[in-house]
Amino acid sequence: MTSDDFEEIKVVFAKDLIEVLRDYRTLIVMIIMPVIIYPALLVLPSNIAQHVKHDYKNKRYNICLIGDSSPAIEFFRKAKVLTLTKVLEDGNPDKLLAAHVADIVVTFPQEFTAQLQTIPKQSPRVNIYYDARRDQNLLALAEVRLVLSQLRGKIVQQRLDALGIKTPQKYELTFSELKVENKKSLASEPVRNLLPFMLFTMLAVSIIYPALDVITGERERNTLPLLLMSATKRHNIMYGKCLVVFLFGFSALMIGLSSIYIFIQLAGQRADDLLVMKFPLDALLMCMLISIPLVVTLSSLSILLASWCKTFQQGQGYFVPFLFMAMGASSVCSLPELQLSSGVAFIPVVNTALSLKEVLAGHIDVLWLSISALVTMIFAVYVTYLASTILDSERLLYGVTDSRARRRLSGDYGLEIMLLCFTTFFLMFYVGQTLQGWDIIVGSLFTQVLVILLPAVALLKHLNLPLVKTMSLKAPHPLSFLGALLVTPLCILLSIGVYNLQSQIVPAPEAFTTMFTRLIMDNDKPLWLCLLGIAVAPGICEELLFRGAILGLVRPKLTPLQQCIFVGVLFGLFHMSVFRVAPTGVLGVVLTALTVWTGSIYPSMLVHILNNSAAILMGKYHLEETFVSYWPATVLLGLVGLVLLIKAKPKKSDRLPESLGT
Amino acid sequence: MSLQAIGLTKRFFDSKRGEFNAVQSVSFECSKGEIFGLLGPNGAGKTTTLRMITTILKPTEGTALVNGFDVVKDPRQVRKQLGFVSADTGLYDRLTPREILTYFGKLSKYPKEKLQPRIVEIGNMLQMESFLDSRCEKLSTGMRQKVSIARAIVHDPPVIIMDEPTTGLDVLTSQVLHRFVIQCKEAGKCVVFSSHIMSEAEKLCDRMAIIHNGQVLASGTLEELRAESGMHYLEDIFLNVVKETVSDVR
Repeated sequence: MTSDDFEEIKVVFAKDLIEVLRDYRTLIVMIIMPVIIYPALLVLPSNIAQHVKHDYKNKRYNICLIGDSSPAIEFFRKAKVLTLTKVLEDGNPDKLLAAHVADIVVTFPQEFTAQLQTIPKQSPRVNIYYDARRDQNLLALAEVRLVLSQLRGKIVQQRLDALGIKTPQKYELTFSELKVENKKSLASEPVRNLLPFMLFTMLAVSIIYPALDVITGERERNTLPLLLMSATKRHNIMYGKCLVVFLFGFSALMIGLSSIYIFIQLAGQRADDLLVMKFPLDALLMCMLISIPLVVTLSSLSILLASWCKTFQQGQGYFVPFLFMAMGASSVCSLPELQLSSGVAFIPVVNTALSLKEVLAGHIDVLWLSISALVTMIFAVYVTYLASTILDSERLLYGVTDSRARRRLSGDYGLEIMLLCFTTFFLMFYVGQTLQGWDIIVGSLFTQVLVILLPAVALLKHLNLPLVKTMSLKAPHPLSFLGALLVTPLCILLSIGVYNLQSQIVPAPEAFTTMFTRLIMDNDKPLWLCLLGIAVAPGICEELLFRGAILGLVRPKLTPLQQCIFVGVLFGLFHMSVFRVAPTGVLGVVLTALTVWTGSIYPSMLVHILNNSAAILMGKYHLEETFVSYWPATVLLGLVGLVLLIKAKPKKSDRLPESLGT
Repeated sequence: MSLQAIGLTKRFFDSKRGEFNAVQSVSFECSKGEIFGLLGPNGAGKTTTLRMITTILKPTEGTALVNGFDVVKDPRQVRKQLGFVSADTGLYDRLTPREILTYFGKLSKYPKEKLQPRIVEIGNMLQMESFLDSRCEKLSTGMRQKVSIARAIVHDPPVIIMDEPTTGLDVLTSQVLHRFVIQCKEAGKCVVFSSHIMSEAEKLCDRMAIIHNGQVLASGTLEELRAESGMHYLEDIFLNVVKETVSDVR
């Protein structure tokens, strides 16, 4: 970044700031909502709950006794929350309840006193009538039960006395209620539970308008072409605009948090209460600080979203799911097991939500908070840059598109690749998991063929692309096979190394580290079937998908280096686990490079099959440490393999074609 | 040569018409101190051609050189050379003309110390003094068009492109605009002026090209066009050229 870049960003920022500030709608989302609505939303439910609880505590319930109730009357009169309104010899309990004469009616047998003097054949029956539709009556019911148990205790004592039996000495236990409170905790529990949700919602609502105004507004008012005709760099325009959105989001958040703080100080404090709203000044300041990465992330995402919209109306439609997603992201704060110091620190948005949760709970881990903030910043810069590439899209500016045939002819298969990836990931998630749930090995075999291979082949057939040419299904130089064979141990070592390195930063849970071993050890299938289902089938089918179809479709548009990175990263993501992304991604890059270099998919198939087979065998026979201890030999073999691969480099005419043809 | 369009072609696609060339192999040149007219009916391809020159649309084929910079290879440098005026471009309604001019002046890296005097100069030239500090949302169509013109020239570009700039303007404002175009020519600017008003082109343009269905059908000075067609008025020449194409197509 040069001083010119900063100057451009500053100019765009200053102009957009003035423009947005001059719109009254800004004041509504930035000031009125944070000052009045958000604090009210946070504090009022809690205050209402406190009032309801207070009412429950102080309310007295009318009780009516029917029948021979004389042995129990004194107990009912002593009961704290009960008011004895009527004592009747006879009556209909339902009518008394319906006429609201009593909240609860207790009926006793007509000769209850006499029955207590003797031991009757049948126990005397005492009935309690109440309206179960009213929750409050449950408190009265509990009190009535307590009174009746006291009556029963007295009767038992009288009988024991009559029989001359002395009751053993009672041991009185003294209970005292002690509140266990985390002294480090910055805010009370209700605030900790509600605040992340409030913050995400506040922020999403407050950035929607400025984001749409500065991007979609320019598009809709037709001022964007003029801006694009200026010599300013596109990404500097976007960074300037993103800063405006950030400033509005952050200001709205500051105002909102301050209002919440003031509201809680004025209306929220109730001593010795479970619903106490404690939100001291240090919690407020920490919240403001920790929400900066959150504001940055959501601002950049909103900018990206606004860049896609042609009109304000369309933008508002797009922002509804955005709002729900932002609110949904805050739900990670309610997952007690989720901590920042795991793989989630690298997931934008989620990491900021967790940072907030941990800070409010008093767990301030500077390292992870810093990593989380750094990841967020990098993510935001990238997302904003990405948005700048959409800004001058001819389709969005003037609705200019190419025909499908023309697009494909020019080698642009972006949409098709997206469709293939989406279909495969979707099928993997639903069909693949179902099949593997039924039988892990056989299911895996079917998954590879039906979910991974079939969509790829079907797509290429639909596009009328030659399978052999697109999937690089041609025999390589014989030395390539030997080279690939010798390179395989080095690839395995590389995967192990990357996994161990990743574990230093993102430690995988034990359940994950032992999962693969258990998968092999705990099933009763023969080894050959395990190898077929987990090594050979993925080695063929996944290669045909990634190094075959996807590599074939991106080849016309990307350079060899870009091909390796793109296909490798996609291969890593395909394994759908944070803990496997890095090792499988690196392996994916190597396998793609092998295909690109040799001009054939078969060497990468060989390496993939051997890599998975080695993983199975090392898991089954606990050979990983032994394997790693032979690293010098592995490196040496790898180097020899690389030399062979270099020697076997195909002639220019045998290399992978850029154009696919039909 | 300040501006050279070399075989500019732009292909569009829509589901009803399929693929079609909105502009096909359009070539022309415009020198310093020259006004070049691009004449054609609505939908002829004038705006698309000019959008390609201003780097907003990428040519499907061909290219254009603006002060020696290629619109395909070096679009950023091209943008520095250009000022663009159009009837349908918007303005920032919540800003004043002075703020807009300052914004675009800064974006175009016009020297800071010269920017405010330049805004005053343009304000005088286009008779904008009375509304220079009013918000654009309160301005009339004519005033807005003047702001558009001022915005396009605030950084003093060597090439000015005008896409039907008099559309919707009253006679008085059109007159101011015409005077301004002539001033630009006198100042040695290269001006490309698109219009479907023949009298306007006749009055202003040194050379012109008649464009129809995305193709240049005739080009030259007014005298050359008269000699070629044997007609005196540009409107007649234009209709004659366009009619010929229509009958050729039939």
